[in-house]
Formats: sequence, C-alpha cells, structure tokens
Amino acid sequence: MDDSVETVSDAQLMARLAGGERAALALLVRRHQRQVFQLAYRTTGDHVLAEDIGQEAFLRVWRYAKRYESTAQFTTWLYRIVVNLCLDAFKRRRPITGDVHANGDVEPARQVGTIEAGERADAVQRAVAALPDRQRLAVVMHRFSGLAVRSIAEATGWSESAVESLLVRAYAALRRALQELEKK
Amino acid sequence: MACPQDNKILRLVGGELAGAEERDFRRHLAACPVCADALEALSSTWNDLGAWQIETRDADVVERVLGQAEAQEVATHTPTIMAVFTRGWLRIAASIALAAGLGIVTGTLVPPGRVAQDSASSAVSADDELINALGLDELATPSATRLPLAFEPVAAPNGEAES
Repeated sequence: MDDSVETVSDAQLMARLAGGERAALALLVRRHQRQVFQLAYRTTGDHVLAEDIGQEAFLRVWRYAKRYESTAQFTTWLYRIVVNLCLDAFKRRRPITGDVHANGDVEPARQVGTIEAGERADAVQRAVAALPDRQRLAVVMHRFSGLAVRSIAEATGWSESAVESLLVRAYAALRRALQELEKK
Repeated sequence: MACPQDNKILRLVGGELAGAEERDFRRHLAACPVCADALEALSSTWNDLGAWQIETRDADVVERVLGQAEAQEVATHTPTIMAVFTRGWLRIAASIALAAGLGIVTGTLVPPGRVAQDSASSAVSADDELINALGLDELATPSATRLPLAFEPVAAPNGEAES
C-alpha cells in the first residue's frame, strides 16, 4: 500500500479490507481507536471494558467488511457497532460510577491540569455516570464525540426526536447535578 | 425548558445550525426570553462538561486486533477436533451403509431366512470354482463316489456290479 495514510478514505480502506487486505484494518484502527475508546470509556466508565469494546468493535469491522456499503459513512457504521457493544455491556454489568476497583472503590477521573480542574473533571464524570444509560450514551456522543443529532439517531437506531428528548433531559439533569456539587 | 424550540437550541449549541436557519433562530432568541434562558443554561452546562478530558492511555489495540483477526481467520479454516471426529464417523457410517447396500444388490447379504441354504450352496459353488481354477478337481472332490477306485467294477450281465 503506497498511498499516504491521510489521503486514503475510510471507504477505500473498507474496500481493501473487504478484499482481504488486512493492512487496511491496521490503518482503520489507528485512525479511529482513540474516538472509539473515549466513547466506550465515557459511556461505561471502565477502562478495561472500554478497551475490550474497542477491540471487539474493530474485529467486527474486519468480520463484516464485506457487508459494509460505502453509501453509509464509515464512522456512523463504526459508532453503531460501538453503541451496540455498549448497550450489551449495560445489560450485563452493574450501574457505573466511574472506574470501580475490585475492592469497590471508585477511581476518580484521571487528572488533567490543576487539582481544581481535576476535581471539576471528577464531578463531571460522576454526574455523567449517574445518568440513565440511554441519556448517558446520547450525551456522550453529542457533547464528547461531536456527533450531530441525526448521526446519533443513525448510530443508535433511535428516532431524531427521541435523541433530542434524551439530550434535553440529560443536559437538564447534568446542570442540576453540577449545581448541587458546586453548592457543596 | 418549556419552549418548543428545544431542538433548535440543541442544534445551535452543537454547531449544527448554519446560514439562514441560524440567523432566523438568533432573531427568535432575541425576542424570546424563555429560549434565551434555555440557551444560556445549556451553553453553561456544555462548557462545564468540557472539564472532563480523558488522558489517552497507551491503549494501542492495533496489534491485539490484528492478532485476534489472524487467529479467527486460522480458526475458520482449521476444522476443530470435534468436526474432524464427527466427519470421520460420518464417513464410517456412510461406508457401512454403502457396503450393506452393495451386499444386498449382489446377493452377498440375504434376508435371514435364506442364509443357511443359500450361503451353503454359494460357498460350495465358490469352492468348486476355485478348485477348478487351480486344476485340483481330481484330488479334492468332496464326494466319495468321485474318489479314484482301486479296481474297475465288472458289469454283470444283468447290469449289477459284482462285489
């Protein structure tokens, strides 16, 4: 493969992957793993689970490459896989409250910048984690993955109005939760 | 948020409104305090959420994914022990069925009631053919009447042999 990684589109890589070129998979993983991991982590609150979800998502990309239709945007297709894996994970595991260690302690958000910023990040993580699953998934995709309402609807299979409703309720709940934390 | 323009506020904050649609909505915001308050609240929450940055760990799953893909590819092309076992038994069963079928067609296998008679005669017949083929028919004739006699019987005038 002599093309520059940047110039090859996702759809082209998928076509190569469907043709059996496994190197195309490596490029797709490198290009999207960060976004996939962040979506899975913010949604599940578990680093190990998020990595497992990311790994399984790309394996499914490889497995079902021949079914991919280039008319669909690759990222929407990929996010749909990740969303399904996250929804499956919700069914299997306990409610999330951030990273939960074996002893039951909750790992605070990884600190970035000052201590105050770290505390703020921790508060946001807890507030997001406290949302119902579907609201959390919608708000993570909207606020952190930067997906438009229509893209979220396509990735989740929910209607646009359902996504909007979830987002309105989620942001309202987050606002209340963050105001409560500020008062303390 | 009670204003029916909730969806527009979401899209504006999410950067989805543009052009004439954005202009029209901003005009509405200037005239609607409910929507203006809702926009301010959502913008504030949106900015607060930005505090949650995730450190990207060295979670490079490329090698793991490629390794798994290769392993699964090999697995799909390599029959499992169970598959080999099952396929082996199927072959044996098919062979037995084929042999039984051929046996019935050629008469080697017959219904139980005819076994003794037919197998005895066919065994004798097969023996005879073998003996004839080897040129031993004079030495190995099973019937006593066909043994070479030490003397020639003399035919009596009435046709009876003398003892």
